Amino acid sequence: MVSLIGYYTTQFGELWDRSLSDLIKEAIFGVLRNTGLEKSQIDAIFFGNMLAGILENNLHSPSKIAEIMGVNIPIFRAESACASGGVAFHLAKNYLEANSNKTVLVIGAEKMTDYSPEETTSALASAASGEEQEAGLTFPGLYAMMANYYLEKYDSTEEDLAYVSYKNHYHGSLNEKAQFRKIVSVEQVLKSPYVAYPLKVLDCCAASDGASAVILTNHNAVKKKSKYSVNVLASEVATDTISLKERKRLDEVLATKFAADKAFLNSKINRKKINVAEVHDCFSIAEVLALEDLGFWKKGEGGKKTKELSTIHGSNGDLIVNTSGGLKAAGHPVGATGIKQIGEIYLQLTVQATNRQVKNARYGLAHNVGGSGGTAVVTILGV
Amino acid sequence: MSFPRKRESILSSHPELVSPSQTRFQDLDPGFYSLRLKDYSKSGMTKKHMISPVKIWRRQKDIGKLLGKKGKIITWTMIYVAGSEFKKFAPYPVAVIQLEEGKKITAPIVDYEKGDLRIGSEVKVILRKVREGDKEDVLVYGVKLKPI
Repeated sequence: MVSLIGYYTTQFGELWDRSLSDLIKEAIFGVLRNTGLEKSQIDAIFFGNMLAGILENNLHSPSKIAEIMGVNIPIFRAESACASGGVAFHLAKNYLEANSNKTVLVIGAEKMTDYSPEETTSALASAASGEEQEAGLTFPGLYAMMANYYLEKYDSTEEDLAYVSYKNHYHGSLNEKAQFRKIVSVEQVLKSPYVAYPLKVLDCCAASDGASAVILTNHNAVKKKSKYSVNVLASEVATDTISLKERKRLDEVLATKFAADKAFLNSKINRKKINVAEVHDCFSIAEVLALEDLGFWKKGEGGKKTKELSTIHGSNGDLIVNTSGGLKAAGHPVGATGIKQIGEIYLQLTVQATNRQVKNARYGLAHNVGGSGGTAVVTILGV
Repeated sequence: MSFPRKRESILSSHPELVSPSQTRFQDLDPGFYSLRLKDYSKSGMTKKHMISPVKIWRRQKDIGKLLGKKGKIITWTMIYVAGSEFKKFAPYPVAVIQLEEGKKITAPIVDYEKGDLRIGSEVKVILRKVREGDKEDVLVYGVKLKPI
């Protein structure tokens, strides 16, 4: 069994005084400090990053990380758009399953705010198909097309979606590492200007800088010494067509369904046992689709369920969602997000989530999506 | 060491590998701007793009077959915040449509009135200028959608 024994994340936000390397350095040495491990105890590193190559002509990151850390171990970079972090985690878990008595570090990092919104928007659009790029579609545009389809099919409203942002901003206000710690009202969400109809500014996550890291081990001595440890019960990846037009349905993310079904099957955990989840809410509609496609809600119920706020911290709900603030309020440094989600679940399960702690949380799920649903990663942790 | 004389496409000998998807695979590759040059002459670090004629040639082979075909809007959006190359056109609508023959395409809608933007509306595929680069660049024509 692979154990997750430590987590560290930098502040998420517009960190103008720090470069990608600065963020990587802080996260690596932060997680080593939190676990009390020496760098010589790390056998390999898995790095999730999407945009450095395209935005800042910055590639061959494994060697750069080797220099930052002062090591000569194998280092690998994973890229799957916004699921880069989750995929890096998946590869790290597989690496441990193929190698006994090893300890690996998984880090996700992204530097996005050095560039204009147009440049970042164009760079992110590289994760869409060529036809979609040529049609002038953006990331919000792709999710907006899913939202428009969903709202019409199930008679849901923009107001239903606004409750996702309201909840996640409230959670963000409880997370000191979040980019946005301000509570927003449903009315403010509805009054914010459109980015891509029917999605508005406050339905969308922002561009952020940040880095997050976790340590995984199957080394018995290391496991025994660790103070806070959770079991990695499953980590599954699934893919689907890059083109939205080729998907079987526009009101679901099929890759999420495949990854979730496999993860629940392999972990032998019933969905009802999950107490906390971090789901990929890059846009408000994405959280609604995620909770349906993960199997927590029935298809089409999401709008109504969202408005009931059963997943907000402090409610009586059985499942609390996105206590970190989600991508919406915590920020979305794309390569880091998948690791931050897993890290937040780790904090919850080890009772280190301070003022946003969910009581008696024993099982948690992290759900990370790349692009408009071309890749999905579902990870299940338990104590 | 000798190189094989004739390169055979793996797909021609293995028909089962041909995807049943209707995607034209050139649709998957990024757009017409192949070279990203840094233009230091004006404002320091602004990026200058050059439109690649070979990419236009590769991607335009199928356009003729689509022109004039009719279809219905499956879903649509109005883009208000666009990427660098499309900023000057914003806001503009984009739709996924299904042609009568079953094939789906993603393209911008032009010459529309507000009431035309709804799921189920009928549109026709037309040829329009889709990109305009530097004054020395070739003009790029592609597919757009017009309400019927």
